[in-house]
Amino acid sequence: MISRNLTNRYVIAKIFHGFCFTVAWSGVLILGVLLFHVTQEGIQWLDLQFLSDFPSRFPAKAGIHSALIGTLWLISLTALFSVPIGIGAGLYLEEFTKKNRIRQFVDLNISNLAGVPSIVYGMLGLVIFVRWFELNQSVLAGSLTMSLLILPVIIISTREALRAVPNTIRQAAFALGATRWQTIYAHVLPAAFPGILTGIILALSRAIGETAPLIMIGALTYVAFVPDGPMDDFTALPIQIFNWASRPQQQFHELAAAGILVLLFVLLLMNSIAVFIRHRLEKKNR
Amino acid sequence: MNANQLANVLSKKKKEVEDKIVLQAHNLNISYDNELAVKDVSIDIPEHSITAIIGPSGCGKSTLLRSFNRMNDFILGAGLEGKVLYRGIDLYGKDVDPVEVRRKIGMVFQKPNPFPKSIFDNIAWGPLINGYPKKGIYELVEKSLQAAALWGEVKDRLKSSAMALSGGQQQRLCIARALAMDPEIILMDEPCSALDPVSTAHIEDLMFELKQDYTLIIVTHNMQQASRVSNFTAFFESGYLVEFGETQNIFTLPKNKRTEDYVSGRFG
Amino acid sequence: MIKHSKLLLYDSPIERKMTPKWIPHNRKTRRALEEKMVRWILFTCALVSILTTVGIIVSLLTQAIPFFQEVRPWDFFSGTRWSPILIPQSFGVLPLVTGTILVVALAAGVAIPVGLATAIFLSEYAPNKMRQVVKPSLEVLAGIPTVVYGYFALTFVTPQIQNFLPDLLVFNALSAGLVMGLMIIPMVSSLSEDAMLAVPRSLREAAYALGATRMEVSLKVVVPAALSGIVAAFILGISRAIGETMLVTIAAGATPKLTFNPLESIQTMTAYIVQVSLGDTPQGGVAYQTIFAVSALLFVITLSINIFSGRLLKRFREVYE
Repeated sequence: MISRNLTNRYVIAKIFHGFCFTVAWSGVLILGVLLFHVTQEGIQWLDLQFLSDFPSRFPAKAGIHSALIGTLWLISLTALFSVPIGIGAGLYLEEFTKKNRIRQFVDLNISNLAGVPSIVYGMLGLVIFVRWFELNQSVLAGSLTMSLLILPVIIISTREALRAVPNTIRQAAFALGATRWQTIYAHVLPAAFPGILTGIILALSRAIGETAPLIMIGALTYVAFVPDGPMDDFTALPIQIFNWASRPQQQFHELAAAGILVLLFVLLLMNSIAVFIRHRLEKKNR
Repeated sequence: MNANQLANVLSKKKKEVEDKIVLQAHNLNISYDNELAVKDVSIDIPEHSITAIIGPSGCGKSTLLRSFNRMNDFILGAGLEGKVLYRGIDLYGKDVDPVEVRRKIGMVFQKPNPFPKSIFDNIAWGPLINGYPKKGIYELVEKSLQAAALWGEVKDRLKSSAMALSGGQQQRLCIARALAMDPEIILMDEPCSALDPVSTAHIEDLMFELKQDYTLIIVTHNMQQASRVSNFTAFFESGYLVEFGETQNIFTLPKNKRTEDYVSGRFG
Repeated sequence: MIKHSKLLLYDSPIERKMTPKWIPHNRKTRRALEEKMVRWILFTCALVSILTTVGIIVSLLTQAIPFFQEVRPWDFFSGTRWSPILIPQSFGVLPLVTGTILVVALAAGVAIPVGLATAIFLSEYAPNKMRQVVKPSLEVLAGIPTVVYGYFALTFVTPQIQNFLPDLLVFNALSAGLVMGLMIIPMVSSLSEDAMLAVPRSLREAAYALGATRMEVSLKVVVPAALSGIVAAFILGISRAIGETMLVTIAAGATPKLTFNPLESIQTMTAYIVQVSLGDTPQGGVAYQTIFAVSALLFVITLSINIFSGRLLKRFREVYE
């Protein structure tokens, strides 16, 4: 009787193993299906003309140039605002404050902000940047909104990177008569930098793909020019993709797929650069 | 010699001894989150000597040591009552900048903690941020490494990473790093406990040499090390300073029974 | 002995012996000033995070309050017809809420079992080589922008399902829900996996030593031990799904309907907000203010869920410390 129970248990256990295995790999499979489908639909439209033309009512003439340049503008400005503020805030909270009630409250606040839907950030941008600051639908308003959106992510990953630096390094520096900032600048930041950089790239990758906040602040969906300055109107890759995907014609759907390929390529490029820089930095630190 | 002359010589000698006290603790009480770790400790550390602080684990030795260079300031919930006097100046006084204190009283830690930079940068950083002119820095690094008996082993690879050194070498590097600041007192918190016997012997030899120009205060678990190396020994138990005196007296003729029990291995 | 050359900062040893008194003084030098300045700059950076929350609350309230002065809250929260633009106007938000719930429920139905099973696979079963493929794939899935998922739902998933269910409309809740589930699988999986990895090995080893199979150890020992972390993972995934915008805008439709039929086209709270923003509704009117009211509702819902799961996560972290 014992052995029959055992056989049953083994059979069930094997079935379960198979189930988990299948499920886990089906995630990989579906990723493959998704990428294949997008490529299949969009690759035909992907050429130099596509990258240099503006959107048009005629699919054959449509291109993604304004969206691509707009995205580049957006990311540059977003990085300009969010990276220093995010790292600064992370430094302050992790190195210059003690674990008291106030800090716990701030921590809670930041982790809540990380979970707020992006469209709510869009509302924030609309009311504060577009209306109150009177920035209208400019790249500046868009990048300020995006910066606030990804700020919690940068702060959290900066703090984790700082926490990973062993405390013995700080103690050694203090024992030599260094001030807090001298210690952080010379030893803690360099050691934490690979982790901080990874967090920044992750945050910016997220920002590149976000659409809803930009729609809220009024980034136009049909833009046939590129921004000349931060106060200009703009569009961005995800918005253009959304625009094309929302049209009923099959050809526009295919254009959307091509746009997606461009977007995915940009993301891939960014992450590869990040991995590369991180490897170089870690090699230097050894 | 008549009685007067003898009295003069004796009082001069007493004054000499008094002048030679470089660090003092008066009725020191140190607590973490309201629990006392160091209880009513008063101790006088003479200069140009090695003072060993011994005792069973967790009895407050490291806490006392850290209070001498204000490293306890970084621990949340640490409270201090009483005085720590460095050549008569209260280190915890209102006008005293803890950063300055640490420039005069250096520290070497239990586990060697070199910066993840080159050997040269490890030693040069402290002096440079304190205003040492760049012109003399190479000389300073060389002299510090020589004083720490490490120069010969690393002189051709000063720019290589400090993390590639062995444990004993790293600890000597940390000592050189502390020496480069030209402190008057060097605190050592169990400096050899993470090292092998050969490295330990090297560092103990180093301690003998250093005591001519510096004052060393060492916390150690290792009684044999204390008896080998130190001039004075303080025995701690449960936060109390049980006995303090010349090392040979502590180990051969202790006045306190608890001391005698500890040094003869009956506990701890 | 280190002999220093004559420098201002260091007393030579001979000098030291002659003048043993060292007078400490609080240097108001450039360095102390620099230190203070740095602290202030960093402090203002940290302040931005507090200001952001204040900003969100203020920007939502400034328009939501006038809205609720025009529309009775009771009508808003319990009305079953949502038609703020078309006459006759009706401001019952329930259709939007049910639209959201429908899609999120479908997503959870996919993501929770799949995410948990994937997490169990990765933490209890997978050999290293497999982990090196599965984990990065999940990370890629997590990094794909949501417009791409919306596109995928509309142009691939819906046609495929239509092969089996010809009644399926082009815009429907089913495709959107399934793909949204796919979208949050990485989050559920990695958070659950973290929770399970935190369970000490000794617990597993004790069970194995008693003759349990791997499945029994996973389901009866590890998962229960990591339960609060796993539940927190589910809840966070759901919160993310509730706030998701572009996927549902592209694939689920723009028809607010009080229904639980996944084959129909519906509208979620988020999709409604996008629709109004893209349209020509005059700003300042009640119709336009609806987006603030709906945003506020969305914000409160996701905030409550996040705070709750945060408390749960804190409890799970404490148990093993």
